[in-house]
Amino acid sequence: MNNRQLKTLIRIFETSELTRLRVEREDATVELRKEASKPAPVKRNASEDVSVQCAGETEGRHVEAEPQPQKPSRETTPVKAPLVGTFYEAPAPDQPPFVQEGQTIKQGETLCIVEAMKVMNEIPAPCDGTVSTIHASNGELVEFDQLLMEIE
Amino acid sequence: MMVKKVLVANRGEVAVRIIRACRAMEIETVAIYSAADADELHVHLADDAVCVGGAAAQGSYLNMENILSAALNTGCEAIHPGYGFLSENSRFVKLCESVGLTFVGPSAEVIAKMGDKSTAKKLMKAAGVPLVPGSAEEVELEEGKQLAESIGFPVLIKASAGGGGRGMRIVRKVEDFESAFQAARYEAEAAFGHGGVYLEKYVENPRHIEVQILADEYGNTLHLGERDCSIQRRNQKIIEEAPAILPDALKERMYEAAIRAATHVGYTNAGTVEFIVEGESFYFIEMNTRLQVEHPVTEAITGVDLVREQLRIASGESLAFDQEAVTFNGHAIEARINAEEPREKFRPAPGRVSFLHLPQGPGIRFDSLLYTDGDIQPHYDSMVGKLIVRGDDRADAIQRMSSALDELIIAGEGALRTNRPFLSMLMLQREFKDNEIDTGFVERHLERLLSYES
Amino acid sequence: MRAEEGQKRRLMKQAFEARRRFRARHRTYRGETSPLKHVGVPEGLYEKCKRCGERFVKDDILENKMVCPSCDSHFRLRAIDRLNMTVDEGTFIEKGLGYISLNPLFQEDYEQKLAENRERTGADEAFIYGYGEIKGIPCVLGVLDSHFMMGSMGSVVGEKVVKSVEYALVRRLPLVLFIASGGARMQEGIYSLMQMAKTAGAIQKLNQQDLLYISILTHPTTGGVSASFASLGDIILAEPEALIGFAGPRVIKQTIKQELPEGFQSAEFLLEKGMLDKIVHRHAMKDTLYRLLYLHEKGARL
Repeated sequence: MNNRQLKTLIRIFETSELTRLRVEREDATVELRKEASKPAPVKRNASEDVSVQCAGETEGRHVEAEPQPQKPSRETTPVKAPLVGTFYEAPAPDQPPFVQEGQTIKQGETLCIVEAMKVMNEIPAPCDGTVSTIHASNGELVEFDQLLMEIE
Repeated sequence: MMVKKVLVANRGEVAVRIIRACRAMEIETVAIYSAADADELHVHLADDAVCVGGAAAQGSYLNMENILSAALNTGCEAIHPGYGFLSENSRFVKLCESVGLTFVGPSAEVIAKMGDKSTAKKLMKAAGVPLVPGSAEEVELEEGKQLAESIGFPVLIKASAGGGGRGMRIVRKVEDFESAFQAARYEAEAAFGHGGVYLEKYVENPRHIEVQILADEYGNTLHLGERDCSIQRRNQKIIEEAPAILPDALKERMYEAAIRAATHVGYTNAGTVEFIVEGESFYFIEMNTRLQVEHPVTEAITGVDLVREQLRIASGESLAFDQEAVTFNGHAIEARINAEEPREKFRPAPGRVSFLHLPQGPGIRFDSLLYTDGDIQPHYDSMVGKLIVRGDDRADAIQRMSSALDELIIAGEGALRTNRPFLSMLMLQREFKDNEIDTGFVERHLERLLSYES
Repeated sequence: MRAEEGQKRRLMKQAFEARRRFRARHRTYRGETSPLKHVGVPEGLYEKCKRCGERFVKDDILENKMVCPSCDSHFRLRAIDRLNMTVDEGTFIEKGLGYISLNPLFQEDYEQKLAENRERTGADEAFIYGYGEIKGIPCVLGVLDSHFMMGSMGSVVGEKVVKSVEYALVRRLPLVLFIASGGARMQEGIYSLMQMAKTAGAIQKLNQQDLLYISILTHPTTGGVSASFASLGDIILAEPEALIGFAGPRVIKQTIKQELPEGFQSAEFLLEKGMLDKIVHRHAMKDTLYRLLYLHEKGARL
């Protein structure tokens, strides 16, 4: 893949509604991901034949059978979205996230924000513990009862 | 410009209906569902789906913020509310307008006006639409008595401060008026703190006839004929038909009144004007500012896809045809299939569907949320499907409906029951075939109707 | 959700899922919306209650008289809102127009602050009064607006309060004042403090003429205002959970070197200690005022 092909690929990806794109060839693997808007920077290498494998979330299908695509593992306390809105990991785009994986938190502490109708709703920690996994990604639409994080 | 992405703010068979109409117009659909409905047919049929709340409708299908949030975040341009839930909630419509989403239905003001019974009646009066004769306001004993005599007995004395049958008395003879009046007053005072009563003509067991209206945003209003929904039980419709067997002249007057009503309030999109009919007289009851459950019978005899027209009108397009182009062909009957046990006071009887066989053939249509292995959710109303049959005339339609019901199998594990045998029985009644129908039909013949073989 | 899932159901779901992907790949357009439409939430459509966090549509809350439908928290009102929900429609005639605050102590930011407040609130000072009717009963009404410089009392506010008393004296009408204030206005120093004496003196004149004065203490009522005319009502009402006090709690704690009791400086606390006559929910305020005014009319009977 040369520079031009790469640029074309990025352009197509950017204007599409895909959130993830992985292109595998003999010589190179290109993986593009989108969050709120920017595509992640990408590796590049040599020549031809693109076989594109799109991540199944073409039209941003947010659910399959169950409302939570991931099931909590081990003995963890789930943190679920109490409303429908946009998940934000930080209080503002230029600020650090509220919590990170592995961080110790206390009950009542703000873990994240779900914004709906321009109102920021702080999601408090349901218990003391450590943030084991953060399932939701920044800027993503979350549904009611969607698993946002797990606390152990 | 046609909307390209619509959020369907409903569930069950109407959500499926709307999604199908959108698909046919290459409109992308987003379904919403409660946590209990994650496996519903409409969720699987839509292009995208968002969980908006818990099983209780209050937190999900009635949750305006979550629904709007879902619509905005999935890039929808419009919301189709179906019927029930938020379809006649003017506050919701206003919110849609505030955020720039198109609501598939009339404007918030029209919905608010027609949703308030007394405002609606005032507007109808101004439009020259006949109302149930009665006193416009509260009356005292003497003037009440005189008014009752001029209206003609039987009359209904009703409390103005509340309903539910309290403070209400039916008076059939002038001699009984005074005592009934005092009794109604006393009861109203006790129940609502206000003893004011008003008078209304009591129409015993009328025919329930409604007229389908379609109007665009450019002032074009037309009617798509009437429907006869007299077969009801406890104010719930069971069988609906189109057309109604009534004198043509009467129907013409009703069409004119319905169009006058719609034009007078500035109605847009699809709507239905409901009347009660007694003899040669008809009276306005209310206007439903939404799509109705029984719309398929109108579709069957006119060939118009009502949901498609709704979407077109909401997209700002003008009506594709005029009144002259509307023709009526044949006779259609719809039977509502409910998951209930008629022999146990029609209590809901949901369960899992283990086997489904649907009747087919010319003029047979089945709109439902059912699929093999699907669960019927207990949290919502018990209607699981509608069987619509079209024939050359009423007798033909009845015969086809009978045979379609006979072929329909909805079998479930354990608790699942439907009213299918009850409906079969209904189709066999001589009085039904002879069109001796009115809103008291089911009650009158209940015992006979319940004597089906399961 | 049940544990086991039917095989047939899975079959259907997989089929529909595959067809959905197929459809998506062959779509003839890609999610363009009509160029003329702007879809999005305008700022300020929704607001959150500061106490319970419930969201509500801003327009709706005005209908509920600016009381949280969920936790009953009484939000601060603008003077215009207070008047709209208290007087009969079309009966309010504003008096005392044309007063402009000056800067007698040459405070650096004062004039700028006044200009900002005037621009933001649309009012020209923190107090407005006039003639109004409550369910047909005429009276003089005055409202302190906590949005204008925290409802602080400077020369103009003090003067207007006195003017409202004089108007009531001349027309022999009852006086109804809604209080919400942070106290005396610092920027005017001694001139502000002087208003305390001035307004108290004016109230005394009302007393001498046997005219009724009802004061309603709303959140927050503190400082020089609560220490003068606000507490001089013949009948003193308050809104639920209003903060009513004079000095701030920290100062009091440091001075008396004691822990303050639970609910200190809340309307309920004051009621308990006998400093108020009644706590009235905002929804009941108009009716309550009507009854009080009615009972004080000549020849009124219960």
